[in-house]
Amino acid sequence: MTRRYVMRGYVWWCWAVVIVQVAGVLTLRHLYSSAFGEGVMAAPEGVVGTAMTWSAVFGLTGGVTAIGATWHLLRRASTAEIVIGIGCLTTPALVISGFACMVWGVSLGW
Amino acid sequence: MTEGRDRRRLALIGTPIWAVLVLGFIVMLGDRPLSFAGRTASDIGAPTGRAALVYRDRENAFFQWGTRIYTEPLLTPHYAKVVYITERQRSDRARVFEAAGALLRDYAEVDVFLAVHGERALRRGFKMLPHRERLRLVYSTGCADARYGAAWTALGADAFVGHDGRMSVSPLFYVYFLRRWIEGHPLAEAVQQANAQMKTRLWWGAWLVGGDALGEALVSQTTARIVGDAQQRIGR
Repeated sequence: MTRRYVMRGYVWWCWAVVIVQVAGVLTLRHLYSSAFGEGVMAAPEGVVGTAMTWSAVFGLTGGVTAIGATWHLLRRASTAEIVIGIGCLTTPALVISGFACMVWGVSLGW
Repeated sequence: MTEGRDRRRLALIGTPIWAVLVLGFIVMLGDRPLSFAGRTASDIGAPTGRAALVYRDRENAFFQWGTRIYTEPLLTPHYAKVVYITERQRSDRARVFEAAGALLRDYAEVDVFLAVHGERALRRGFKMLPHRERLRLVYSTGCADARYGAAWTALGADAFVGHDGRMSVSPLFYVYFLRRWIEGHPLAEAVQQANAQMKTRLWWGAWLVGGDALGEALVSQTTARIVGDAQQRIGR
């Protein structure tokens, strides 16, 4: 039963969202604290640049994964799973990824 | 079979709608994704002859960092020279006057953006500088700094923008204002639009925490006003 559930396609997508979000947020946190830990003027330009690039990578990957998971949930999951999956997982994931993209866009002067 | 086709249709229609709704929510909380500065750049003319000075005073490193990554990339394409100074120690203020002196000597129009908690000491330093009549716009995030607007215009600035309240959430205004200023809107319009954007977000945010009274108090304290020439534009 568990095995059958875990093997469903949309469950893999949900796991991908969780992994991308957790890894992305932890990496951003590390890069941002390296960038501003010693104060902004002390932060090497390279670290700030890497933090911004990573914001873009995370924002875009996170967004694509969240959209993919939503697609698969709508395609295969039960109504309860759709409500929980979209409400608690893919919507917050897309919001976080969207803000990561926004930080990147801001750093480019958009 | 039919159910499979229905679910496919649901996914095809539902996914983009949901993505657009979430993006709409992000835009609602923030601002439109793109500034229109690129589009209006020809209207505002070449940046030759104008310079900007930005000073960020003591704050925690996160705020200092945020002010810098937001401000510098927006200003750089639209000014011939941008000097950005972040205060790490008191002596950094001397660098502000040094930089201001050089910009006022070399450029016909100098805009000053002060991301500070209070500009009083800075104004005293500016008083000593020659060519102060080249100061065009001075903006200060400082709480209750609007009361010094007349002093700044008497000192030589064409216009001053500041906030009246002692509890002003100025950064929220600044984010919207800076984008609209570099897009080429006249100062009056840029301030009016930024005030409107700030009001909606701040009122809702404050209302959620402390209800109507807090919302109204914060909005009225954060609303910016102009002293001096409200028709100034970044260029032309």
